[in-house]
Amino acid sequence: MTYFLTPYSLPIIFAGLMGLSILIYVVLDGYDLGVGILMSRMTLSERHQALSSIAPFWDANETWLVLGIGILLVAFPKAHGLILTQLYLPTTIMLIGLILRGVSFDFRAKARDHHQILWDRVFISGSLITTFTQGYMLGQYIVGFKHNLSSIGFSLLIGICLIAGYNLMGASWLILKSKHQLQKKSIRWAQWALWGTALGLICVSCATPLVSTRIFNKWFRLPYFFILLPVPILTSILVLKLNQLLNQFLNIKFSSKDPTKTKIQSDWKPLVGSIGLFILGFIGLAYSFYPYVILDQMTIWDAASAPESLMVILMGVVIVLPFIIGYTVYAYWVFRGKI
Amino acid sequence: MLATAWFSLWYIFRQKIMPKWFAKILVLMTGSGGLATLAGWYTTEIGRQPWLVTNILLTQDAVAKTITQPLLLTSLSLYLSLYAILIVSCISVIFYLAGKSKP
Repeated sequence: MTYFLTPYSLPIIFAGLMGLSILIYVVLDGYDLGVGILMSRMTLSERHQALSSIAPFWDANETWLVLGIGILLVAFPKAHGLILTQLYLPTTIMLIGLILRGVSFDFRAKARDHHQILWDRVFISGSLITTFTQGYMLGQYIVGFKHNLSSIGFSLLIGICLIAGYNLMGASWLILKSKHQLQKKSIRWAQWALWGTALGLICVSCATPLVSTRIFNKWFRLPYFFILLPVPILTSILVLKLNQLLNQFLNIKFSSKDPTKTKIQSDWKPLVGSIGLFILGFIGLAYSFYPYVILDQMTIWDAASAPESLMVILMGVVIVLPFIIGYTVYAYWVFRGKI
Repeated sequence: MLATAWFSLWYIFRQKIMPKWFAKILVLMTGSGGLATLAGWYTTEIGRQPWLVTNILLTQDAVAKTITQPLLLTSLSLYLSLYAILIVSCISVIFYLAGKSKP
Protein backbone atom coordinates (compact mmCIF):
# COMPACT_ATOMS: atom_id res chain seq x y z
CA MET A 1 0.00 0.00 0.00
CA THR A 2 2.64 2.52 1.07
CA TYR A 3 4.55 1.59 -2.05
CA PHE A 4 2.10 3.70 -4.08
CA LEU A 5 2.02 6.59 -1.63
CA THR A 6 5.33 8.22 -2.48
CA PRO A 7 6.32 11.90 -2.30
CA TYR A 8 5.77 11.86 -6.07
CA SER A 9 2.32 10.30 -6.13
CA LEU A 10 0.75 11.90 -3.03
CA PRO A 11 0.47 15.41 -4.56
CA ILE A 12 -1.12 13.85 -7.66
CA ILE A 13 -3.69 12.05 -5.49
CA PHE A 14 -4.51 15.29 -3.68
CA ALA A 15 -4.69 17.29 -6.89
CA GLY A 16 -7.20 14.72 -8.12
CA LEU A 17 -9.23 14.88 -4.90
CA MET A 18 -9.22 18.68 -4.94
CA GLY A 19 -10.23 18.79 -8.60
CA LEU A 20 -13.02 16.31 -7.94
CA SER A 21 -14.39 18.33 -4.99
CA ILE A 22 -14.35 21.55 -6.99
CA LEU A 23 -16.01 19.87 -9.98
CA ILE A 24 -18.73 18.40 -7.77
CA TYR A 25 -19.15 21.80 -6.11
CA VAL A 26 -19.53 23.59 -9.45
CA VAL A 27 -22.11 21.09 -10.66
CA LEU A 28 -24.11 20.89 -7.43
CA ASP A 29 -24.03 24.48 -6.22
CA GLY A 30 -24.12 25.56 -9.88
CA TYR A 31 -27.67 24.41 -10.41
CA ASP A 32 -29.00 25.89 -7.17
CA LEU A 33 -27.24 29.20 -7.80
CA GLY A 34 -28.77 29.09 -11.29
CA VAL A 35 -32.23 28.52 -9.81
CA GLY A 36 -31.58 31.49 -7.50
CA ILE A 37 -30.75 33.77 -10.44
CA LEU A 38 -33.69 32.53 -12.53
CA MET A 39 -36.04 33.40 -9.65
CA SER A 40 -35.89 37.00 -10.86
CA ARG A 41 -38.19 35.97 -13.71
CA MET A 42 -40.67 33.92 -11.70
CA THR A 43 -44.04 34.67 -10.19
CA LEU A 44 -44.44 34.33 -6.44
CA SER A 45 -45.87 30.80 -6.59
CA GLU A 46 -43.21 29.71 -9.07
CA ARG A 47 -40.55 31.04 -6.72
CA HIS A 48 -42.03 28.93 -3.98
CA GLN A 49 -41.87 25.82 -6.19
CA ALA A 50 -38.32 26.58 -7.30
CA LEU A 51 -37.13 27.10 -3.73
CA SER A 52 -38.84 23.92 -2.56
CA SER A 53 -36.96 22.02 -5.25
CA ILE A 54 -33.56 23.17 -3.96
CA ALA A 55 -34.38 23.47 -0.25
CA PRO A 56 -33.17 19.99 0.81
CA PHE A 57 -29.86 20.31 -1.02
CA TRP A 58 -28.58 23.85 -1.43
CA ASP A 59 -26.52 24.24 1.74
CA ALA A 60 -25.18 20.68 1.63
CA ASN A 61 -23.95 21.48 -1.87
CA GLU A 62 -21.67 24.16 -0.44
CA THR A 63 -19.90 21.50 1.66
CA TRP A 64 -17.94 20.61 -1.47
CA LEU A 65 -16.54 24.14 -1.75
CA VAL A 66 -15.34 23.94 1.83
CA LEU A 67 -13.79 20.52 1.10
CA GLY A 68 -12.08 21.75 -2.09
CA ILE A 69 -10.65 24.90 -0.48
CA GLY A 70 -9.81 22.86 2.63
CA ILE A 71 -7.74 20.41 0.58
CA LEU A 72 -6.07 23.36 -1.16
CA LEU A 73 -5.13 24.78 2.25
CA VAL A 74 -3.83 21.63 3.91
CA ALA A 75 -2.30 19.86 0.90
CA PHE A 76 -1.02 22.81 -1.16
CA PRO A 77 -0.47 25.60 1.41
CA LYS A 78 1.85 27.66 -0.82
CA ALA A 79 -0.66 27.69 -3.67
CA HIS A 80 -3.48 28.45 -1.22
CA GLY A 81 -1.62 31.50 0.06
CA LEU A 82 -0.90 32.79 -3.42
CA ILE A 83 -4.31 32.11 -4.98
CA LEU A 84 -6.41 33.45 -2.14
CA THR A 85 -4.33 36.59 -1.65
CA GLN A 86 -4.41 37.30 -5.39
CA LEU A 87 -8.16 36.82 -5.38
CA TYR A 88 -8.71 38.57 -2.05
CA LEU A 89 -11.35 41.07 -3.13
CA PRO A 90 -13.43 38.72 -5.34
CA THR A 91 -13.34 36.11 -2.55
CA THR A 92 -14.63 38.69 -0.08
CA ILE A 93 -17.41 39.65 -2.45
CA MET A 94 -18.27 36.00 -3.11
CA LEU A 95 -18.53 35.35 0.62
CA ILE A 96 -20.86 38.32 0.97
CA GLY A 97 -22.98 36.86 -1.84
CA LEU A 98 -23.11 33.50 -0.05
CA ILE A 99 -23.99 35.17 3.27
CA LEU A 100 -26.82 37.14 1.65
CA ARG A 101 -28.15 33.96 0.05
CA GLY A 102 -28.05 31.93 3.23
CA VAL A 103 -29.69 34.59 5.36
CA SER A 104 -32.43 35.50 2.92
CA PHE A 105 -33.32 31.84 2.33
CA ASP A 106 -34.28 31.52 5.99
CA PHE A 107 -35.67 35.01 6.51
CA ARG A 108 -38.01 35.08 3.51
CA ALA A 109 -40.25 32.49 5.10
CA LYS A 110 -40.06 33.89 8.64
CA ALA A 111 -40.20 37.65 8.18
CA ARG A 112 -43.28 39.81 7.68
CA ASP A 113 -45.20 38.85 4.54
CA HIS A 114 -44.61 42.14 2.74
CA HIS A 115 -40.87 41.77 3.36
CA GLN A 116 -40.80 38.48 1.48
CA ILE A 117 -40.30 40.15 -1.89
CA LEU A 118 -37.40 42.13 -0.46
CA TRP A 119 -35.74 38.94 0.84
CA ASP A 120 -36.37 37.28 -2.53
CA ARG A 121 -34.47 40.13 -4.15
CA VAL A 122 -31.64 39.66 -1.67
CA PHE A 123 -31.58 35.93 -2.51
CA ILE A 124 -31.46 36.65 -6.24
CA SER A 125 -28.69 39.27 -5.86
CA GLY A 126 -26.73 36.95 -3.57
CA SER A 127 -26.89 34.17 -6.17
CA LEU A 128 -25.88 36.58 -8.92
CA ILE A 129 -22.96 38.05 -6.96
CA THR A 130 -21.67 34.59 -5.99
CA THR A 131 -21.85 33.26 -9.53
CA PHE A 132 -20.30 36.30 -11.16
CA THR A 133 -17.36 36.44 -8.75
CA GLN A 134 -16.73 32.70 -9.19
CA GLY A 135 -16.54 33.19 -12.95
CA TYR A 136 -14.31 36.22 -12.49
CA MET A 137 -12.00 34.19 -10.24
CA LEU A 138 -11.88 31.36 -12.78
CA GLY A 139 -10.92 33.90 -15.45
CA GLN A 140 -8.21 35.39 -13.23
CA TYR A 141 -6.91 31.91 -12.41
CA ILE A 142 -6.69 31.02 -16.10
CA VAL A 143 -4.73 34.15 -17.05
CA GLY A 144 -2.36 33.67 -14.10
CA PHE A 145 -3.66 36.62 -12.00
CA LYS A 146 -2.63 39.31 -14.46
CA HIS A 147 -4.28 42.63 -13.80
CA ASN A 148 -3.93 44.33 -17.19
CA LEU A 149 -6.93 45.55 -19.13
CA SER A 150 -7.42 42.52 -21.39
CA SER A 151 -7.07 40.02 -18.53
CA ILE A 152 -9.64 41.84 -16.44
CA GLY A 153 -11.94 42.13 -19.47
CA PHE A 154 -11.56 38.39 -20.06
CA SER A 155 -12.31 37.61 -16.40
CA LEU A 156 -15.42 39.81 -16.44
CA LEU A 157 -16.59 38.00 -19.60
CA ILE A 158 -16.08 34.60 -17.94
CA GLY A 159 -18.09 35.93 -14.99
CA ILE A 160 -21.01 36.67 -17.29
CA CYS A 161 -20.65 33.35 -19.12
CA LEU A 162 -20.67 31.45 -15.83
CA ILE A 163 -23.99 33.12 -15.01
CA ALA A 164 -25.26 31.58 -18.26
CA GLY A 165 -23.65 28.25 -17.36
CA TYR A 166 -25.29 28.08 -13.93
CA ASN A 167 -28.56 29.28 -15.44
CA LEU A 168 -28.37 26.36 -17.87
CA MET A 169 -27.98 23.89 -15.04
CA GLY A 170 -30.61 25.67 -12.92
CA ALA A 171 -33.12 25.66 -15.78
CA SER A 172 -32.36 22.00 -16.56
CA TRP A 173 -32.85 21.17 -12.87
CA LEU A 174 -36.25 22.88 -12.99
CA ILE A 175 -37.19 21.01 -16.19
CA LEU A 176 -36.58 17.82 -14.23
CA LYS A 177 -38.16 18.91 -10.97
CA SER A 178 -41.12 21.11 -11.94
CA LYS A 179 -44.33 20.82 -13.95
CA HIS A 180 -46.58 22.86 -16.23
CA GLN A 181 -45.88 26.57 -16.53
CA LEU A 182 -42.59 26.66 -14.66
CA GLN A 183 -41.28 23.70 -16.65
CA LYS A 184 -42.21 25.40 -19.91
CA LYS A 185 -40.53 28.64 -18.87
CA SER A 186 -37.43 26.70 -17.84
CA ILE A 187 -37.09 25.19 -21.31
CA ARG A 188 -36.83 28.68 -22.81
CA TRP A 189 -34.35 29.79 -20.13
CA ALA A 190 -32.24 26.73 -20.81
CA GLN A 191 -32.16 27.56 -24.53
CA TRP A 192 -30.87 31.06 -23.91
CA ALA A 193 -28.39 29.93 -21.30
CA LEU A 194 -27.04 27.19 -23.57
CA TRP A 195 -25.59 29.72 -26.00
CA GLY A 196 -24.04 31.77 -23.22
CA THR A 197 -22.47 28.60 -21.86
CA ALA A 198 -21.13 27.68 -25.29
CA LEU A 199 -19.62 31.16 -25.62
CA GLY A 200 -17.92 30.74 -22.24
CA LEU A 201 -16.49 27.35 -23.22
CA ILE A 202 -15.17 28.79 -26.48
CA CYS A 203 -13.61 31.77 -24.66
CA VAL A 204 -11.83 29.55 -22.13
CA SER A 205 -10.66 27.14 -24.84
CA CYS A 206 -9.23 29.98 -26.93
CA ALA A 207 -7.68 31.85 -24.01
CA THR A 208 -5.79 29.00 -22.33
CA PRO A 209 -3.48 28.20 -25.30
CA LEU A 210 -2.93 31.93 -25.86
CA VAL A 211 -1.81 32.81 -22.34
CA SER A 212 0.70 29.95 -22.19
CA THR A 213 2.85 28.51 -24.97
CA ARG A 214 3.22 25.39 -22.85
CA ILE A 215 -0.52 24.77 -23.04
CA PHE A 216 -0.51 25.67 -26.74
CA ASN A 217 2.09 22.98 -27.40
CA LYS A 218 0.24 20.51 -25.24
CA TRP A 219 -2.95 20.95 -27.25
CA PHE A 220 -1.74 21.37 -30.80
CA ARG A 221 1.39 19.31 -31.06
CA LEU A 222 1.05 15.89 -32.69
CA PRO A 223 0.21 13.24 -31.50
CA TYR A 224 -1.46 14.91 -28.47
CA PHE A 225 -3.74 16.81 -30.80
CA PHE A 226 -5.52 13.63 -31.84
CA ILE A 227 -5.69 12.26 -28.30
CA LEU A 228 -7.47 15.41 -27.19
CA LEU A 229 -9.63 15.92 -30.21
CA PRO A 230 -12.58 14.02 -28.66
CA VAL A 231 -12.95 16.69 -25.94
CA PRO A 232 -13.86 19.66 -28.20
CA ILE A 233 -15.76 17.39 -30.62
CA LEU A 234 -17.85 15.84 -27.84
CA THR A 235 -18.52 19.29 -26.40
CA SER A 236 -19.78 20.61 -29.75
CA ILE A 237 -21.98 17.57 -30.32
CA LEU A 238 -23.39 17.89 -26.81
CA VAL A 239 -24.27 21.57 -27.33
CA LEU A 240 -26.03 20.84 -30.62
CA LYS A 241 -27.87 17.82 -29.18
CA LEU A 242 -29.01 19.82 -26.16
CA ASN A 243 -30.31 22.57 -28.42
CA GLN A 244 -32.19 20.02 -30.52
CA LEU A 245 -33.66 18.39 -27.42
CA LEU A 246 -34.83 21.70 -25.96
CA ASN A 247 -36.47 22.60 -29.28
CA GLN A 248 -38.31 19.29 -29.19
CA PHE A 249 -39.49 19.96 -25.64
CA LEU A 250 -40.75 23.37 -26.64
CA ASN A 251 -42.82 21.93 -29.46
CA ILE A 252 -44.67 19.57 -27.14
CA LYS A 253 -48.19 20.87 -27.05
CA PHE A 254 -49.50 21.43 -23.58
CA SER A 255 -53.13 20.36 -23.81
CA SER A 256 -55.19 23.32 -22.74
CA LYS A 257 -57.96 21.28 -21.17
CA ASP A 258 -55.88 19.36 -18.73
CA PRO A 259 -52.28 20.56 -18.55
CA THR A 260 -51.55 18.00 -15.84
CA LYS A 261 -51.86 15.25 -18.43
CA THR A 262 -48.97 16.57 -20.53
CA LYS A 263 -45.76 14.91 -19.54
CA ILE A 264 -42.33 15.46 -20.99
CA GLN A 265 -40.51 12.21 -21.49
CA SER A 266 -36.83 12.09 -20.59
CA ASP A 267 -36.94 15.38 -18.71
CA TRP A 268 -33.67 14.37 -17.03
CA LYS A 269 -31.66 14.60 -20.24
CA PRO A 270 -31.01 18.38 -20.25
CA LEU A 271 -29.57 18.22 -16.73
CA VAL A 272 -27.30 15.29 -17.55
CA GLY A 273 -26.25 17.02 -20.77
CA SER A 274 -25.40 20.32 -19.11
CA ILE A 275 -23.49 18.56 -16.35
CA GLY A 276 -21.64 16.76 -19.15
CA LEU A 277 -20.65 20.14 -20.62
CA PHE A 278 -19.17 21.22 -17.30
CA ILE A 279 -17.31 17.92 -16.92
CA LEU A 280 -15.82 18.22 -20.42
CA GLY A 281 -14.78 21.81 -19.74
CA PHE A 282 -13.21 20.67 -16.49
CA ILE A 283 -11.28 17.86 -18.21
CA GLY A 284 -9.92 20.31 -20.79
CA LEU A 285 -8.86 22.78 -18.12
CA ALA A 286 -7.36 20.14 -15.83
CA TYR A 287 -5.38 18.69 -18.74
CA SER A 288 -4.09 22.13 -19.70
CA PHE A 289 -2.97 23.05 -16.21
CA TYR A 290 -1.48 19.74 -15.07
CA PRO A 291 1.05 19.55 -13.46
CA TYR A 292 0.82 23.22 -12.54
CA VAL A 293 -1.43 24.42 -9.75
CA ILE A 294 -0.60 28.03 -10.62
CA LEU A 295 -0.14 28.61 -14.33
CA ASP A 296 3.49 28.00 -15.34
CA GLN A 297 4.71 29.16 -11.90
CA MET A 298 4.11 26.46 -9.34
CA THR A 299 3.69 22.72 -9.84
CA ILE A 300 1.69 20.55 -7.49
CA TRP A 301 4.99 19.20 -6.08
CA ASP A 302 6.29 22.74 -5.39
CA ALA A 303 3.12 23.62 -3.56
CA ALA A 304 2.55 20.37 -1.65
CA SER A 305 2.89 19.89 2.09
CA ALA A 306 5.42 17.42 3.49
CA PRO A 307 4.67 13.79 2.47
CA GLU A 308 4.21 12.86 6.16
CA SER A 309 1.49 15.51 6.57
CA LEU A 310 -0.16 14.40 3.34
CA MET A 311 -0.31 10.82 4.62
CA VAL A 312 -2.13 11.92 7.77
CA ILE A 313 -4.56 14.07 5.81
CA LEU A 314 -5.15 11.26 3.32
CA MET A 315 -6.29 8.96 6.12
CA GLY A 316 -8.79 11.62 7.19
CA VAL A 317 -10.03 12.11 3.65
CA VAL A 318 -10.41 8.37 3.04
CA ILE A 319 -12.63 8.14 6.12
CA VAL A 320 -14.68 11.31 5.56
CA LEU A 321 -15.20 11.30 1.79
CA PRO A 322 -17.34 8.12 1.58
CA PHE A 323 -19.64 9.58 4.24
CA ILE A 324 -20.10 12.84 2.36
CA ILE A 325 -20.74 10.99 -0.90
CA GLY A 326 -23.05 8.60 0.94
CA TYR A 327 -25.28 11.23 2.53
CA THR A 328 -25.34 13.25 -0.69
CA VAL A 329 -26.59 10.27 -2.71
CA TYR A 330 -29.05 9.39 0.06
CA ALA A 331 -30.47 12.94 0.19
CA TYR A 332 -31.01 13.05 -3.57
CA TRP A 333 -32.63 9.62 -3.44
CA VAL A 334 -35.02 10.58 -0.65
CA PHE A 335 -36.08 13.82 -2.37
CA ARG A 336 -36.32 12.39 -5.88
CA GLY A 337 -39.28 13.10 -8.14
CA LYS A 338 -41.22 16.23 -8.98
CA ILE A 339 -42.21 18.88 -6.47
CA MET B 1 -25.52 35.50 33.08
CA LEU B 2 -25.06 32.63 35.51
CA ALA B 3 -27.50 34.18 37.93
CA THR B 4 -30.21 34.48 35.27
CA ALA B 5 -29.53 30.91 34.13
CA TRP B 6 -29.89 29.47 37.66
CA PHE B 7 -32.86 31.67 38.38
CA SER B 8 -34.72 30.49 35.26
CA LEU B 9 -33.84 26.89 36.07
CA TRP B 10 -35.41 27.36 39.48
CA TYR B 11 -38.57 28.72 37.87
CA ILE B 12 -38.69 25.81 35.41
CA PHE B 13 -38.30 23.23 38.19
CA ARG B 14 -40.95 24.86 40.34
CA GLN B 15 -43.14 25.15 37.20
CA LYS B 16 -44.10 28.62 38.27
CA ILE B 17 -44.89 31.48 35.93
CA MET B 18 -42.06 33.98 35.79
CA PRO B 19 -42.73 37.52 36.93
CA LYS B 20 -42.78 40.04 34.12
CA TRP B 21 -39.64 41.88 35.22
CA PHE B 22 -37.67 38.65 35.02
CA ALA B 23 -39.01 37.85 31.54
CA LYS B 24 -37.83 41.30 30.45
CA ILE B 25 -34.37 40.59 31.81
CA LEU B 26 -34.33 37.34 29.84
CA VAL B 27 -35.16 39.25 26.64
CA LEU B 28 -32.30 41.63 27.36
CA MET B 29 -29.95 38.70 27.99
CA THR B 30 -30.69 37.11 24.59
CA GLY B 31 -27.43 38.28 23.04
CA SER B 32 -25.30 37.60 26.13
CA GLY B 33 -24.23 34.11 25.01
CA GLY B 34 -22.89 35.49 21.75
CA LEU B 35 -21.25 38.37 23.56
CA ALA B 36 -19.50 35.99 25.97
CA THR B 37 -18.19 33.86 23.08
CA LEU B 38 -16.94 36.99 21.37
CA ALA B 39 -15.26 38.26 24.52
CA GLY B 40 -13.51 34.93 25.08
CA TRP B 41 -12.27 34.85 21.53
CA TYR B 42 -11.13 38.47 21.74
CA THR B 43 -9.15 37.76 24.90
CA THR B 44 -7.49 34.71 23.33
CA GLU B 45 -6.48 36.60 20.21
CA ILE B 46 -5.10 39.63 22.06
CA GLY B 47 -3.41 37.47 24.70
CA ARG B 48 -1.54 35.43 22.10
CA GLN B 49 0.06 38.45 20.40
CA PRO B 50 2.68 38.93 18.99
CA TRP B 51 2.43 35.22 18.12
CA LEU B 52 -0.04 33.72 15.69
CA VAL B 53 1.03 30.22 16.75
CA THR B 54 2.72 30.58 20.12
CA ASN B 55 6.55 30.33 19.85
CA ILE B 56 6.29 29.11 16.24
CA LEU B 57 4.89 31.81 13.99
CA LEU B 58 4.82 35.58 14.46
CA THR B 59 1.73 37.40 13.26
CA GLN B 60 3.87 39.86 11.32
CA ASP B 61 5.50 36.96 9.45
CA ALA B 62 2.19 35.32 8.62
CA VAL B 63 0.41 38.38 7.29
CA ALA B 64 -0.01 38.48 3.49
CA LYS B 65 2.29 41.10 2.00
CA THR B 66 0.26 41.54 -1.17
CA ILE B 67 -2.91 42.63 0.59
CA THR B 68 -2.70 46.39 0.87
CA GLN B 69 -4.25 48.53 3.54
CA PRO B 70 -7.01 50.01 1.31
CA LEU B 71 -7.96 46.47 0.25
CA LEU B 72 -8.15 45.37 3.87
CA LEU B 73 -10.19 48.44 4.80
CA THR B 74 -12.59 47.74 1.93
CA SER B 75 -13.24 44.15 2.95
CA LEU B 76 -13.49 45.01 6.64
CA SER B 77 -15.98 47.81 6.05
CA LEU B 78 -17.99 45.55 3.70
CA TYR B 79 -18.21 42.84 6.37
CA LEU B 80 -18.99 45.31 9.15
CA SER B 81 -21.76 47.07 7.25
CA LEU B 82 -23.26 43.75 6.12
CA TYR B 83 -23.29 42.38 9.66
CA ALA B 84 -24.74 45.65 10.99
CA ILE B 85 -27.66 45.30 8.58
CA LEU B 86 -28.02 41.60 9.38
CA ILE B 87 -28.08 42.07 13.14
CA VAL B 88 -30.81 44.71 12.82
CA SER B 89 -32.92 42.47 10.56
CA CYS B 90 -32.26 39.46 12.77
CA ILE B 91 -33.47 41.24 15.92
CA SER B 92 -36.48 42.61 14.09
CA VAL B 93 -37.41 39.15 12.74
CA ILE B 94 -37.03 37.58 16.20
CA PHE B 95 -39.31 40.22 17.75
CA TYR B 96 -41.80 39.76 14.91
CA LEU B 97 -41.84 35.97 15.38
CA ALA B 98 -42.16 36.31 19.15
CA GLY B 99 -45.00 38.82 18.79
CA LYS B 100 -46.86 36.57 16.35
CA SER B 101 -47.22 33.76 18.86
CA LYS B 102 -48.83 36.01 21.46
CA PRO B 103 -52.00 34.42 22.80
